[in-house]
Amino acid sequence: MDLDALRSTDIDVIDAPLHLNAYRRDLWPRDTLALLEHGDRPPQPMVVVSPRHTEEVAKAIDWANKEGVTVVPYGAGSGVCGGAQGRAGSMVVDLKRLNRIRQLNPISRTAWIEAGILGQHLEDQLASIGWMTAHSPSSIACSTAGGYLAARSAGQFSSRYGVFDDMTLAAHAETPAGPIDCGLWTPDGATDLLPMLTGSEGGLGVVTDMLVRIHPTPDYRWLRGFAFETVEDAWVAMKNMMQAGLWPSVLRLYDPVDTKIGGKTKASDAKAGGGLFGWLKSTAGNNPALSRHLLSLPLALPGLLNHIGKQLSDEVLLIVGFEGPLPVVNAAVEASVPILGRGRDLGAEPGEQWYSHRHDVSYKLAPVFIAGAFADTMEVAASWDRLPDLYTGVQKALGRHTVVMAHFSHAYPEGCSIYFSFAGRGNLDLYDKTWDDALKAVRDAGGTVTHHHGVGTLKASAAAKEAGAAIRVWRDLKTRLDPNGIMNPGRPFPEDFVEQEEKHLLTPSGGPVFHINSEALMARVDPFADPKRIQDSLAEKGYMLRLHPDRPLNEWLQHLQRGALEVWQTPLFGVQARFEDGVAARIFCAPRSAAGPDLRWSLLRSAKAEWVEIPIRPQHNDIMVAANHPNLDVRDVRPAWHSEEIWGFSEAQNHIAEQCFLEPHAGAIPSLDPEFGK
Amino acid sequence: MSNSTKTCALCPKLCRHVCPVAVGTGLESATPTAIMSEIMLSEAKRPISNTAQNALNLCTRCNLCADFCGVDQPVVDLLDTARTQIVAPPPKWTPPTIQGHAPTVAILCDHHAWDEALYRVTGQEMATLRTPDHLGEQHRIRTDTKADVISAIAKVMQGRTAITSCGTCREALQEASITVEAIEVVSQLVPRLPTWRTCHCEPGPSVDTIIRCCGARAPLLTSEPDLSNTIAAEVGRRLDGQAIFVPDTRCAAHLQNAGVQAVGPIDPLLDTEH
Repeated sequence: MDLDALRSTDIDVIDAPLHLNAYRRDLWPRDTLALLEHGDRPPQPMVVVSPRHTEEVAKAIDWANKEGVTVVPYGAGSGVCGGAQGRAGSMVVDLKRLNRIRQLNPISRTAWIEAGILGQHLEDQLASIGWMTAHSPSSIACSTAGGYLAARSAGQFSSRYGVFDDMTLAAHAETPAGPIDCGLWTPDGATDLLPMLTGSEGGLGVVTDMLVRIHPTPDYRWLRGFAFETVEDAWVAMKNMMQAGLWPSVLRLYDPVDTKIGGKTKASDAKAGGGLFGWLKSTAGNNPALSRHLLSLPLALPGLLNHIGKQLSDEVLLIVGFEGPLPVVNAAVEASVPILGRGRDLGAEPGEQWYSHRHDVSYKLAPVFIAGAFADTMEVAASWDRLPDLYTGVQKALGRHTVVMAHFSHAYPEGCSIYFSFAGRGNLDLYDKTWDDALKAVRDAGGTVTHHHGVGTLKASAAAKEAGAAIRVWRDLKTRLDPNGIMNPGRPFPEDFVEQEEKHLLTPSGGPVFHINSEALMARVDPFADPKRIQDSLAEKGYMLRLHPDRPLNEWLQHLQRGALEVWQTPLFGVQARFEDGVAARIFCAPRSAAGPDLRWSLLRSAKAEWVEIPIRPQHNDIMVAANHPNLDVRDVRPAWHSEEIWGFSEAQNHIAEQCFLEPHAGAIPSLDPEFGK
Repeated sequence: MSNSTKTCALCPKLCRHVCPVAVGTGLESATPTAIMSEIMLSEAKRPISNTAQNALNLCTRCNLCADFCGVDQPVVDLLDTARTQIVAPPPKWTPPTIQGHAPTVAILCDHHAWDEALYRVTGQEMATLRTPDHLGEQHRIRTDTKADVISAIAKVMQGRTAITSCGTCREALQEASITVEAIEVVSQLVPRLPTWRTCHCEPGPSVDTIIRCCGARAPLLTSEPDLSNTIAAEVGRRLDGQAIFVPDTRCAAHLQNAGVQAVGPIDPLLDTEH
């Protein structure tokens, strides 16, 4: 291996054992368990490069491509699925010195950022001049913007500002086949590859630059807790809030056990930031011998503990928040009153407690492992109609082996995510068995196996099964951009995965509207039909299109530009298409799935669509009337149908594209001494 | 091994964004979590690996990680303890002697005799104590030798008041319960510049560069001077040419060496010399 050739490129090259060790594992709990059980760590990479500019990333990839060396992009290593695990003989590209905000445009409300910037630094720097991306994951202190895109991250305010996919308007990546610009930076006539780059987990190239949406920091914030008798009652409220277009910044529901253990509906004994891991931490205490004993009994009998938890629980807590200019917050609060009517108002304290301690949970995992147990989380999602099956199915699967509770913190008009926290007493075998059962339960319930943690090693097979035959469009692109297969092989889909045609294809009949899902407010329609025919057909059943194409959906969707729509205007949920060789692929509605790249758009281009699932709304809806307050500045509650109107391609959005020119790099970044640490 | 070490080693690196070495160098190995991981793994190995010893050198002891920690982990104390356990002790420390009998002692830790300049401005007579090793800094970062050094400092000072502009020396003096005066007159001499708030400075009006330690402290400066310089240069890059006042002599000098337009507390005094 000609490392001298790599060093001659002026890139900082690191190969001292001390530094290589730090890149052997990310935060996958399985690796933590293995470390504590056997002292094992994943393999050490061969070398780490620490580029300061995009050009250096390109040079490093070029070297690796010529030498046939595996490339693993590395942000801050906060992934919890093993996506950045060490690989023997590999070159790690550490992006943390690509950490600048290159340009901020307050007119188009965009920021051009580099991929290695830590989330907390990005928000701190933007906040100092009155702006924010509003992306606030629990990991914000220890994760990078590039990681958010690679694993399709979601933050705590996603119900208003979207997940990181929604926030990203353009990206630049270096691949073995050369640089690619996508999203709003896509060259004229080229295909926009941004949907394929998001969630690709380094499998195509290394993202170096991104253009993201920014917002003014809010003038006002309103947070409040409501107690509901059942999870189902609270789901209805959440669904109605989102389908009414109220876009709360926080919409966070704790299931009965989580509510009970946290004491969250009783302000007097609220344990902020508690949850399962907080409860275990407090149970374990600080005495290692005692904590092992205290934890061993309940975690050894998970079924009993889960049963007792359910029996003792009587309410669920929903935290609701709005933020923005005062008139908007006031109007949104007023409009939400009838929707939240079945809940018992707990006042501001539960919401403010959560806000103050919203990042604390990350501190609570280590004590569980130290006490000889394991803890993990699983974030899944489904459309509203499938959510009950997903909740009960996964809860049952996890509950066979572990103590489990859940919360629901990312809601959309079409569905919601579920975040399971679980802890068990056992070894790697039990850990693996728990995950196998849970992933199968997700698939059986029709959900997506990951909502915002990405795929990594943990969910690669499950994500590939979810993609089915649509995985073909990934492989085609991979072959083009990474012909030697050096980019993070097996991420996000296993290399040896044999594509399988979806067994449960839905054969369209009738039309142009094949099916209406009144829970998720979406319709399965003929993508080649005149939109007016679709609109008329929907009207017969009391519905209307939420977005307004000016041409058949197949064509309209293919030409829809990233950033053309507001974050909550999801234009496409599911699609079924058939390749030329007769193999059909189906991608079902999975709200903001992080199970690899967004294959839907490439599938539309590569195969003949048989149906598409798109958003609809009721023609007459009391909830929407309530939300349509004169002061409420939410575009999405506009009820009129304008066939000639194409939403999204506004002057403002075109202006964004004009602002997105690249500038030469500025500022000399200090180099590292190659001899240090040896 | 203590549970505290494990708690840090298994933490999701929540303090990495305040660690000047991790941020300034971009090195994953410099995060407190990574350093603690090496220490945790070294516990099972004998002899202690070089990597664990090297890991301990990637710290400036600025304490920003402990300040930020949500579960109050005494990170610097843990590292000092680990250092005692796995790194051989340095030769015994020889305390410096004070020159002069004035009740106030100027602590001179660099090559500038700023006491004379200060005397010309204020007329205050001072004894001097020259301490190029910042009052036994290498010995104060170990739990086995720290107490002896602090005791020796107290004995040398004999209750006299110290005057210093160095945060490292001030820390040692305060640990020895010595009264420390700032160089009051300097505030009148320093031009109106934004203050760069370092890990030693009181919060106040400041220019914030995210990196709040220049890297000029042991053990990093002693063991990895190039990395220490990298951090100072990174601070300069983020300041983007802006001139700053740095209230700590040691930090100011380190930043100046890296090309940063930094004005330290004694610089205006020395300027009056010319």
